[in-house]
Amino acid sequence: MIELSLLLLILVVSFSMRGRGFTRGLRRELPKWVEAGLVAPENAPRILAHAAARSQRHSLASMFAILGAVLLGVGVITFFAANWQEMPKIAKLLVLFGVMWASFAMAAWSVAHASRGWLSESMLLLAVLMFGANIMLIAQIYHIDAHYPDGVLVWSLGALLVSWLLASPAAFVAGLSLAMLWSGMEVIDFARMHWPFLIVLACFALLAVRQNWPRFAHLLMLALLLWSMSTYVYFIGELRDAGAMVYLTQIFFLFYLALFLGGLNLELSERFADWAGTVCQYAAVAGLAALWVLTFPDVLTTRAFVAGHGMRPAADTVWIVTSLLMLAIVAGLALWHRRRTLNLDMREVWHVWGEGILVLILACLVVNLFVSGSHGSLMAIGFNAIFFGATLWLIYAGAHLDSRNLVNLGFMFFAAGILARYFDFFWKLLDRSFFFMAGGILLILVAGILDRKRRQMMAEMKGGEA
Amino acid sequence: MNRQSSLVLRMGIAVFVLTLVLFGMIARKQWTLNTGTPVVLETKPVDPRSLFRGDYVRLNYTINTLDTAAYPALSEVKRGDVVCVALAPGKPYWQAVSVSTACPDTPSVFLKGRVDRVSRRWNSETRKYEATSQVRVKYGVENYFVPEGTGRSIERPAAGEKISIEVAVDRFGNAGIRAVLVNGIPRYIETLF
Repeated sequence: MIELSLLLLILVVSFSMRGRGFTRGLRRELPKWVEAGLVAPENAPRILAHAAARSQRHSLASMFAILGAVLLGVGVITFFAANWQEMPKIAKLLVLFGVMWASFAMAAWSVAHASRGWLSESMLLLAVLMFGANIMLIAQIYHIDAHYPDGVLVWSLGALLVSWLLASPAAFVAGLSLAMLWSGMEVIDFARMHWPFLIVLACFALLAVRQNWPRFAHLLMLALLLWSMSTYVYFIGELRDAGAMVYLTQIFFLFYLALFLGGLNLELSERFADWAGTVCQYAAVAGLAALWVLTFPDVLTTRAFVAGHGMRPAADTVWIVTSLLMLAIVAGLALWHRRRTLNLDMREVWHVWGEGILVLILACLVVNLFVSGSHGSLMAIGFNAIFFGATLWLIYAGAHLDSRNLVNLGFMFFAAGILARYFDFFWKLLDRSFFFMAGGILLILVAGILDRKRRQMMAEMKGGEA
Repeated sequence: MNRQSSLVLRMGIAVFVLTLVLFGMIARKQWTLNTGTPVVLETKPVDPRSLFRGDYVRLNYTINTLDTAAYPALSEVKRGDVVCVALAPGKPYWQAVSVSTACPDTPSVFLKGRVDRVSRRWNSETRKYEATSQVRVKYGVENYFVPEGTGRSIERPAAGEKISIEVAVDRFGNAGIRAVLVNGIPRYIETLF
């Protein structure tokens, strides 16, 4: 039931965002159109009011219809789950197939009648839910006891097919959520590394690009990050050498850094510019979290994590080769971005600073591969300098990219870094009561200063926008 | 082709493919039941409940748990690996006679299973897992769905009743439950419709 509730929540949030996203975009773009003379100034408020009313009406109708479809689907599943013996197999099959076929027929009818457009999505969603119900119930009727995540995979692929053929966002959200559930089952229930998820995720990403659905970049990135986190946890559990935590975190940091640079490259492309912001934001969150882990001296020495093994040794060949491969990808993406910004004559100061920080990051990661845990404290100084430099750069870059989310992220991680170092340095040095009192005062001061700076930057960004 | 016909065509493809997948599930299982060799297996059922699929009896066969000492091929397997268990008729139940990681070409009856659990322990000196005695293998016939609330009659049979399962095993090693037997007499028999 938790899975169904999650699916319901994702669907409702996605669809409630749909209408608001359009109106928000229009509100941002309309002043520019007025300035360019494309729209008469007196018409702008009327256009906005019309769009807001229309999107609210449509998103409300769609939301209720989708909720109805989900509830109907859940009702059918639980009704048959009782294994109603009075009904012969053939009758059960006819009802199950009939509801699925009828849902498709209703969807076709509602598309043909433009005024019933809000119904088509909910009917396609119902068809997808019925497909899943049919998989489960056929497995019940015929006692098919396969590897059970496979059933969820087939369900997800069915939703992908419906979404692909009929351009259905509801089927897309359902299918991708099911793919996440499938991967979660494989990783949690069967404790295995789950590479096949990336193939399915790539298919969904391809569809979203084909249909030009940048709003689903959030769900796609969320799926990728959740998968990467579960993979990280899996590897930490499997790898037992003393340096695994450090070198694995470095590799994952490089992966997120590559994603971030990929996002910056997307921004330079006309077709993918709408996707760039979301990719960068999610990659920045995950990347900074990984870098933050590497700022702890105890992690870099590995003293605290591997009892009885002492400090970590320098990385072995497998770690070095994998890390260098990731480094090459990151460097390649950075150079590609540099070349494109040079060609487009778009170089700004934040690009130059970013490249400087990137070089320092890569150098620090390489050095860390070849030193043992006895130099962990020294490396921690380097990683902290880079971490704080990177958060400041993110705030700076976010302001130039007009991305409030990146600015907020920068401030958030800057504060997290200060808090972590305060704990590191003063936990043992100060009396506990002084530690907490001083910590409290420090937190309030840092929060005040950071919030004032953040508000200043937001106000400047807003002023620039107007 | 206008927009409406294109939509109908795409809708038709979606309906056709999804329906085909569902029919494929039924056909695959039915083919095993119709063409497979009947094999009677000893079992000890327990009765859980599936969220989506209602009540089912979880069947614990004797051949689900195999000893690595008796079947050396199992000493190197890990969770998720496919193994083939050759069966021979016994009295009254069929027994596992050999296990291999590659399925045999011979016309003997074998069941294809997947390793579900390996009882191993970590050796900190050799820094490797050591295989101990038992490997749990699942064959895809461990669940039998029953009307809600009736699982207990199979889980806890009356005194003197002995539950066994007749499965059909096709030439590819796939299995399907054909009947639930009580004292060797079928109580639930599976049919297509």
